[in-house]
Amino acid sequence: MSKITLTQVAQIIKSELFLIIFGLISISLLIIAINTASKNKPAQLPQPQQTAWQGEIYPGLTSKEDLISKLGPPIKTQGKDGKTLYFYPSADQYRPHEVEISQETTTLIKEQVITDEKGQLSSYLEKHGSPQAELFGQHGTFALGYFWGAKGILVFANKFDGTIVEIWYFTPTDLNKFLSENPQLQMTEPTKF
Amino acid sequence: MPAETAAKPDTAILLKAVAFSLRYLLDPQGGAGKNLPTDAELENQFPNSQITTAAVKNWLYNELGSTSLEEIIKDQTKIQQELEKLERQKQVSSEGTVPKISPETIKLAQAPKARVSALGVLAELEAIEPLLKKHRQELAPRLTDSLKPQIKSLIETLGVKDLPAEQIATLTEDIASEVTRETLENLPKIADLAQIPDVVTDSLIQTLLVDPAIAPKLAKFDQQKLAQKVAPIASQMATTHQNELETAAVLGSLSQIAKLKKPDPQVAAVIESTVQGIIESQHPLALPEQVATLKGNLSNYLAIYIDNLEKEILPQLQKGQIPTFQKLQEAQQAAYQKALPVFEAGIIKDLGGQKATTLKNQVTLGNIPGKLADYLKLRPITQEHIETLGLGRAQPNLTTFTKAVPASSKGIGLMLTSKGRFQEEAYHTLLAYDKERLGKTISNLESQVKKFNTQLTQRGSLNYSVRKEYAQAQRKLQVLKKAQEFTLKKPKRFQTYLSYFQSLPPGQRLNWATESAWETTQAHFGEQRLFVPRYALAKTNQLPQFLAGRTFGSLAFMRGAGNFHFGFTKPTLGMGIPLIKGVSTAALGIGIASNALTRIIKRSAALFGGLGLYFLALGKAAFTGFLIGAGIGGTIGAGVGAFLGFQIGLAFGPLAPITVPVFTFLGGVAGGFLGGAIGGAVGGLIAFGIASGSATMVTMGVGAGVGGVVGGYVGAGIGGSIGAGIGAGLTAITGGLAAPLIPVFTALGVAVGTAAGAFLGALAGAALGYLIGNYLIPFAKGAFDAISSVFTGTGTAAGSAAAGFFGAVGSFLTGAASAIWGGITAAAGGALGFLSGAANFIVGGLSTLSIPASAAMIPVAGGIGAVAIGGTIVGLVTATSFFNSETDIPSQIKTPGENQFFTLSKTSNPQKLDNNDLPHDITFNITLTAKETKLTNIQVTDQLKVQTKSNDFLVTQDKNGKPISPPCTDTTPTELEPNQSWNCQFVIVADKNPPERNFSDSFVANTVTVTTTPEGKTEITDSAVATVVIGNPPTICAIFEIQGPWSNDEKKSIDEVCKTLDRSPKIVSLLQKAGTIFLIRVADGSLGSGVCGTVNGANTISISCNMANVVFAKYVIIHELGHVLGNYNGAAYNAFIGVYNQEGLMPTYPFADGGSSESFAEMIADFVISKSYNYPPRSWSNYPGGPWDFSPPQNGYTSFKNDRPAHYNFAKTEIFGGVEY
Repeated sequence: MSKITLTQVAQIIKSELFLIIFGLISISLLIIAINTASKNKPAQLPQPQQTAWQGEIYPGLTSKEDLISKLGPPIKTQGKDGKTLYFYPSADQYRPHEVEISQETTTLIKEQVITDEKGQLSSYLEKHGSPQAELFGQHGTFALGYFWGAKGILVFANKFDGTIVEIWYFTPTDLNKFLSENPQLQMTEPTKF
Repeated sequence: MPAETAAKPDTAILLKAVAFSLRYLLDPQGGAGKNLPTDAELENQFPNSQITTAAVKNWLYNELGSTSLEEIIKDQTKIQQELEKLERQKQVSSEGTVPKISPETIKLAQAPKARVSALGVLAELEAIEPLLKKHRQELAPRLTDSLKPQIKSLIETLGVKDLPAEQIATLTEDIASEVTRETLENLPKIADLAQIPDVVTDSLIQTLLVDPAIAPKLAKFDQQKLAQKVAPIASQMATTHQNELETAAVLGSLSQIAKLKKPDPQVAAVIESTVQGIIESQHPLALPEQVATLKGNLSNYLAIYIDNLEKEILPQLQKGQIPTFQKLQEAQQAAYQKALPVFEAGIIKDLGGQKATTLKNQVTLGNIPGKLADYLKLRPITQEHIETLGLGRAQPNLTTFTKAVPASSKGIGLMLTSKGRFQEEAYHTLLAYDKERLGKTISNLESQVKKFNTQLTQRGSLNYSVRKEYAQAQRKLQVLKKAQEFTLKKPKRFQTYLSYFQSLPPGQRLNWATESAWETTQAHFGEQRLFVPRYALAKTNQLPQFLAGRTFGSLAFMRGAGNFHFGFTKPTLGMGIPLIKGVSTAALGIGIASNALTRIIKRSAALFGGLGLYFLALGKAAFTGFLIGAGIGGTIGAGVGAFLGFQIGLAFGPLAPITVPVFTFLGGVAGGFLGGAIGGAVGGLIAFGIASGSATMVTMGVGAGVGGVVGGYVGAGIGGSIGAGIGAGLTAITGGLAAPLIPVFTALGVAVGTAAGAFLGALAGAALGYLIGNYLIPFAKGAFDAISSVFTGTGTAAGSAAAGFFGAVGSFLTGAASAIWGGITAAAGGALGFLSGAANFIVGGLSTLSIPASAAMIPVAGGIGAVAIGGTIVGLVTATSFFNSETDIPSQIKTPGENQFFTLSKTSNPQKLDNNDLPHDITFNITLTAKETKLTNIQVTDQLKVQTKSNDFLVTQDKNGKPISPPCTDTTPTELEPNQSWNCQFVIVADKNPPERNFSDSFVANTVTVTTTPEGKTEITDSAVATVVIGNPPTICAIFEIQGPWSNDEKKSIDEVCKTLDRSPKIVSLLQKAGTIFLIRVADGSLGSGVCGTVNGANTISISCNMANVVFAKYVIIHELGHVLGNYNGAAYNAFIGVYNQEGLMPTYPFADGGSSESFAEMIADFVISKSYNYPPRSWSNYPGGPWDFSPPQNGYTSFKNDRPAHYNFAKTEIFGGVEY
């Protein structure tokens, strides 16, 4: 049997066939590695940094049953875009808190801040640091939405006197995803006259 | 006397002769104030000098402005001064040096009069004029005859057939004559004989375009197309009359140079500006003496140059031979070179050793005569000069204008590299910066246009020459007026660009760039003694953009190697004709290679940017993967690209020292973007697949990676072979001329092949990966859940792992490899900036993202967010600000005292006092807190202003007599460490000591201002305000700052608004929280259709409708004030939300989707004017409540109070404090 020379080895290594086979082997190894690594799907627990509403309600985790067991039945329900809205009373009868439920799970909570029960914007800035974004919503420039995606919280507050008017709680997410799910929010100030 | 010995009079003898003549004139025994010495007397006095009475008279005319001896003799003092001056000059001359000639005395270098030697040949350069005239007279008919048949044919080809034959014949004759005239006039301006056909083509096109009978037929042609039609005629004419045209060009050039010997204020001005320009850019602190010396010696240089040229040229002319164009250029070059040492020697002599050395250390002396020579066309044109005037092909590199500028200016610098709106605006800024020059030029052009109009009206027609001047003046006027309008319409952008140019390195700042913009503009309008074909310019409406592109090409070139590349566009000077001999082949190769790499850069940058946005939209996991992949791929790609670029540069042989750095850079950038795009796609797909549990995405990603590598490898081989083949083919076709380009094409083929192969390979690999993932291993689907949380950060069990992973990534990125990532992110920002400039690619994306500066970071993954996203987002933010349509409203709302580096707050206690409380202490508290950067060089100032009904006054001392500005002097820090705070408190007494210090019914505004330099950053200033309301403060108008062109009637309306609001102290007090409210009158209709007012989100109101009607003004302005009130009174608005939820949007608000904030503002306006304002009918269309009418309601009408009681009562109690209107 004739010996293989180094030149021949080099040619084989440089050949396209070798590179394609090498690529396929790489893919196979990667898939096997990933397959081996994934054995148990973790249980759904609140993320460490997620902000809870009323201390115990986590959007994305708290089920509708849990919600009702903790807060009682809502004062009103309403269907919206395939989701159900549950309304709970606040200190202002015209400003109920709103809980959005999808697939039997709470997904978004809009808490109305009637007076100063939630303190000032500064306390949130101090606690969470600079927000990822300042969003414009229903309140326009009167109360910008300060967005902390990783904390699952959006605080609408006046930037000059710090008055908080509304707080949204949601599953931690990134800004783009959040904006795509809430098209009424914008990154730029909408033209108002 | 033999012709060879005929020479002009010696300057020193001439000076003596003039002095002698003046004394003779004054001598009662001599001229007795009536006569100069005769030729014989002069010959007797100065044997063999050839000085004549006429020569002396010529001198006197030049120097004293008159040849009338009676006039001259009247001013004996001046004669004495002249004699003294002559005496000094004679001394200089007798010392063996060249006569010192200042701008004033440059005339001394002139020969007395054109003379012809005894044999009838030239003894002086000035005598060239008759020769030129004669040559032109002889040549003109031949040219005209030669043109006529072709022009006739051309006219018919252009579709002008419906004219009578006689008229066509007349037209043909006229056009041919005009083309001949203009061609002969323009020939002296050519830089190369190759431009002769361009001269003819240009003249013919322009003549056709201004001919009233023909011009309408040419509407369908643009000038480039016309040029193609006309070029054969020009080419034939240039060939047929080649020698005669060359002679005309040579004689014309010599004639122009000869004219420089005569007094000409323009030449003196050129000398002045040449020196000033160089001094300003190289040695702005030069002493007046040094500047004067440079000017004097430059004048001297010009005289010597002419003298040298005469010596070079005259011998040949005297033999009756007209030099060829090439000989003339050689003679010019020789004359230029010979005069250079004299220039430098003169400076050393005048200034003395030490001062001259100091000057030489600061100023490149050789550049000064060079610049003058280029401007006056004293030497063959250089490529440097062509590029400096923007007439060449230089284009800025991607980073040219981002170098050596602050980070905040890099975005603008980046955008200035791509042609389009930004370059045009910056170009307008540069032109308009020299306001006086712009105004004067526009005024002159307007006068010209007016004069032409008048002539046209009076005469009914204009000749071709005037019509062309008319058309050119209009074109230039349009360009300059656009620049002027830009400053008026977009003052903020104007300021932004000014700031950018001011931030450039010394010597390359505003003055320098402005001068360059003007020079480029002048050059393209044929005002730089160079022939620039008018048809090579862009269409009039595109001219500003065209000139802007050329200006920035020129600026890039002048910034030196590494800052420019040669674009593939043809030089303006001559439609691609190689003007610089010997480099045409290389230039062709450089053009092709740089064009190919630039295209790769543009496409791969677009791909990179597009993919980046795509993965950004897919979520953080995908974007994280994209960034990681882009980092790896980009680094590898940059390395490979730089290597291939190096090979291309090397292939240019002797030009390698220039081409290697350029092409290595271009290759690196191209490779970086392409590698970044492919690597990013691989990383993004894999990460997204893992995060979403899609095995297909993962295999596509892996496939793209493998395919990209294989494709690049295969493509390199194929591309190299193709490139070599092309090079060999071209060599064969050109008979060996293109042989030097074979290695260039081979290396370029490898580079292009690698790029194309990598791209196609990645696509093919991704497709293969899709097949594998979707069909071959479907079992793998869902196998990624466990580690998906690593990327998405949502899985609990993986939480710690994720933290570990990202922590590791963050550490890696922020550690040793941060430099690489910085480069990548800068490149990403660059790509996005480029895209935005090139094709408004991300307009939508930017508008949607529009990430405010205060939140300029999306923490995608720990350290990655900090390092990787920053650059991109900064680029986005910068670009976004340029995409917002400007309405003079700041697009960014900034909290006073809050910025990137520190937080500054100011409070007052109490915030409200009654008059009865006075005197009363008011405590002001200032807190300054540094953020993540150390603050240095902190300066704090404070202003406390009290506005009362009778007067305003400042409080400058606190209760203890200490100054409040700077406040707390004993504790004011000069530096603050990161996160460190400084607090200051002082107390003033609000007392009641009329008239000087009466706080009754006043508004107290205390403003603290901090200026500091964050470590490693540029200086920043910010302010914070605290206010105190005492009693019933003066009218709300006191806090209005009125800006813009408000009419008197409108101002009266504003006064009425104030009077109305002043009735309610509560609303005044609420509005006073805004500090100052800016009321800006902007152009009618500029805010959009049907929109009369907007607010910027803080305290600036813009109004775009006529506010002369008081009721309407109240409606509009109070509505906008309602917004301002809401912006600064969150608590008041919060109390309103329930009211809005109860009753809905105010029916009078004329737009849909107003929301609670609009309803709030509308409610406030309605509360004041609902009983007097006639709302538009549309407000009540289908409105169930019925229209509002004056109180009491009647006949189906209702009122605000009845219709929206909750709103009405809220406004009454919470906003107006019980006051009703």
